[in-house]
Formats: sequence, structure tokens, C-alpha cells
Amino acid sequence: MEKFFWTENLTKRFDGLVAVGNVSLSFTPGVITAIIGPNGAGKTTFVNVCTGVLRADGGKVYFRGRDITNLPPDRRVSLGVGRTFQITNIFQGLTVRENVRIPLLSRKRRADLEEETEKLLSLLNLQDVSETLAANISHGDQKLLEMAMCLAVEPEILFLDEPLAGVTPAEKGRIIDVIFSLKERGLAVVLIEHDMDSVFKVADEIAVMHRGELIARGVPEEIKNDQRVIDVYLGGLE
Amino acid sequence: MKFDVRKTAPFALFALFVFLFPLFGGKYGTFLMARIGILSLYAVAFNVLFGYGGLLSFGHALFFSGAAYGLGIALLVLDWPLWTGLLIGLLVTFLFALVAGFLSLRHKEIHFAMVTLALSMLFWGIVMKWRHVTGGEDGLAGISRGMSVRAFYYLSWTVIFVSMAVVYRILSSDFGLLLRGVRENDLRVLFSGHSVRRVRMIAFVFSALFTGVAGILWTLLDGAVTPAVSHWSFSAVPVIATLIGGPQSFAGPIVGTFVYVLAEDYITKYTMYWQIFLGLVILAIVLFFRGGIVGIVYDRILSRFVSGGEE
Repeated sequence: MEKFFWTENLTKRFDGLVAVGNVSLSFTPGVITAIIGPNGAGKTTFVNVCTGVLRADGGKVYFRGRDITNLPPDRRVSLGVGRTFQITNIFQGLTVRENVRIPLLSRKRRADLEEETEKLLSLLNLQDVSETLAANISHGDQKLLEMAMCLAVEPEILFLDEPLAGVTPAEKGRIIDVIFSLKERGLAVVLIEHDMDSVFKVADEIAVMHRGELIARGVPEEIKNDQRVIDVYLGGLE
Repeated sequence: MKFDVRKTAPFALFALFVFLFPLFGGKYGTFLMARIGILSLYAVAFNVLFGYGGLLSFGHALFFSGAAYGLGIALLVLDWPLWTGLLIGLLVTFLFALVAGFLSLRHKEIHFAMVTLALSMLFWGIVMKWRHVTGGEDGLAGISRGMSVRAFYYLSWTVIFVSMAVVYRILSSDFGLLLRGVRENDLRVLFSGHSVRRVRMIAFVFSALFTGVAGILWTLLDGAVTPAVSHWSFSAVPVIATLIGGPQSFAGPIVGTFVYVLAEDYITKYTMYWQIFLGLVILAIVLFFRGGIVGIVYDRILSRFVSGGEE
């Protein structure tokens, strides 16, 4: 099958410290890939380089055969690369509706803005808070709002950085449902998450990073039984 | 755009007051009121960047004086007709905005403010030294507005109202929303598929152009252009007026300009040290009333009666 989104020997250093070292990974449409590993393993840095927040010090990022390593984030977004952040990244001082409208404005077709806004608000179950300032809605709703904003730009691949961190069990269920729906829509979903129960429940594939390197990749069953993964990460969690 | 009587009525009353003012304001009062209008437009244009875009420019005198000197030089040095002079004034501001925007918008916060300040002081230096063109310290005097103060009062307020309506329309549009998005969170704007620098550049040029309109009106009202309008202290005028009135609302800079100019006019009759009063007012606002006068009025009084945001 033709490769969709992939990295080749991607490397990022901070003052000599290798945060991401020669990581080659690929992601597939309609597949949820979780990236796990201990704190400081380089997971978020890897996503930051893939999405253009940080510049790569080595290696390449490709999307649909095109080298996007040096493109700024807004150009990557227009190609179909979306993301959420570890610390919820929304427009706190704007209403929920305005938050959703801003990414919609970057779409090429503009005629159906109102309709699209309503559609996204109802998809993420945010209609009731649509006129509320984003700063005043619950943490779980903020996470969903951030996802709605990502979906507004019609991504083909979506990086979700700890979408379940700090949410209530009920909100967690809603967010997991949304993640499954993204998969059904055919998006490639890349999930960084520390909640292992959820990871093993939703992920089709798991990549494990440790000290900036990719140490394992496979389906959940393989990862669960991988001795190196147990030694450096999963064993410590039990 | 929806017609909202709660928002429209105060502006309609204000317009009526401006229209009737020359009938009872006297010649000096009419002159002062025209000056307030021009400086209000200056502050509103400045606040496009500050209140809505989150960028504190400390060099807006560059655009004000760029238009003023462009007009003055075209009329008095090159002896060109008025309409050409007006276009030259706006063209100079536009070119200044492109260069200043290109150099300053790579930076944010204090660095952005410092670049704009440095560029405006560079122009001030040129104005002071290029004596045979700019008139140096003396400036350029003898610009004819070709009508009475009262007629010019109506003309300038018409231009001011139209300009403000255009700025309001821009800020109420999707572009205005995008600009507020940049103020709130530029990283999320990038990940919404927009170029932050492009949004800032468009806002910068708009802001500069309407500042240039104010500079042209000011020059015609005064009949002269002096280096004072290119000095950094003149860049502080819209900053202070906006802080007094409140940067988070469209009306804030207008209210602030009224207070600033009237207080200066009143207090300087009694003491030349009016800046002491100004300093105390700014201190009180920055420490206790960040929303300025409009913020106080809205938060303490109007919010009890109406719902909905200022913007």
C-alpha cells in the first residue's frame, strides 16, 4: 500500500540532548496508532516536529509523498495535518462558536460556514455551551472543543496529545467515542496517552519510545508481551 | 449586520451632539472638538493593533507624521494640488506600513514595540535634519485647508465617522475574529490553517492607513506640520488615550481621547505640570481599572441591565 504519512530518521536535539533520535514511523488512514513511553521519552517532541511546531535537526517528514519537513504549521494544516496539545490549546477569551469558526475560515469553500459550525458543535455535543466563553466550560468540553477545531480544517491525519489527561470518567467515555468516530471517518489518528487501559482499548497499533528512540512497534498484544517494553515502561506502571 | 438599538443609540446621540456642537461650542471649542475627533480616529486606528491584535505599537507617530509630511511636502515643496497631496500622504503611510510591518511583525511584545519606536524615531531624525525639504524644527507652515474652521469641522467629522464605521465593520467581520484569535493564541491560529504573520500584516496596514487619514486631517486643521507629530511622545498619545478609555471595546479609545484632550486643555490653564495629573490617572487605571473607563461603566453599571459582550 502507498505510504501515507511517514518520518525517516527524524531527529531533534536540545543543547546536545537527543530528544528524538532517528525515529522512522509511518501512519495509516483509518488506523489509530498510539505512541507510548515514559515521561521524557520524546513523544511530544516527535509530534511537535511532525506538525511543524519545532524544526527537525535531521531526517524527513513526508505526507502523501511530499516532503513537508520545512513547511510551517499553517501550510501543513492546509495539506491535512491537524493536532491537539497536551495543555488544551483553544481561544479562551472567545465563545465556543467563535472558536470553531476560526479554523472553518481557512477552508477553501466558505458558503456553508454557519451550517458547518452547527454540524461540528453537534458532532462534539457542544451546542448547549456554544455561546459560552471557552474559558468557562469544563475541562472535558475544552478537550472536545479542541478536537472540533481540529476537525474543522478537515484533517486527514490527527495527532492527539494526551486527550484524556485530567478529564472525568464520563468525559473520558465521550472523548473515546469521538476518537473511534475519527477512525470510522478514515482519519489516521496518532494518540499520545499515559492511560494504558484506554490505549490498549482504542489503539490498533502501538509504538513505544524510550529516551528519544523507537524501541518497539506492533499490535497491542505484541507490545504487551514485549520484554523490552515491559522493562522500560509497562513493568513500572504495574 | 444585525441592528442592535442598545449599541447604535449611544453612537446616534453622540453623532447628534457632534453635529450640533458648533452652534454652542464657540470657535475655540469647535477647533478643540475637531482635534478630539482626529485624535480619536488616531486612537481607534492604533487600537486595531493593540486591543484587537494584542500588539503594542510605540511608533504610530510614524504613520501619522508620514501622511502629514507627505501632504505638506506635496503641497508646499512640490506645489502639487490638494487631491494629489492627499493621495501622496496616504501613499507614504502605506509604504511606511509595509516596511515597518515587514521589520516589526517578526517580533512580539516588547521587541515589537521597540522596533516600531526605533523606526518612528528614525523618521523623526530625518525630519529634523532634512531641513530644506521638511523645514527641520520649524516644520512646514502655510498649508491651506481652503475653508472655515466650522466647514472643516463638519468635513473632518464626516471623514472620521466614515473611517470609524469602516474600522468597526472590519473588526466585526471574520477578519476581526481572526485578529482577536491571534491576540488570544497565535499558535492555535497557525493550527487553524491561517498565517499569523499575514493576519498581523493586514491589520498593521489598516491601522497605519487610518492613522494616516488622521494625520492628514490634523495637518489641514492646523495649516501646518511640525516635527512634534513625528516625535515618540506623539506615539504615546493613542496608547494613553486607549488605556484611559479601555482597549477591549471599540468606544474605549474615543472616550479616552475625550478625557485626555479635555483634561490637558483644562489643567494646562492652571499649571504647566499637567503630566502629574496624567501620571496619576494612568497609574490608577493600570493598577485598579484595567478595562479603562468603558470597562468600569460596562462592568459596574451596564452589565446589570444588558447581557452580551463589549466586542
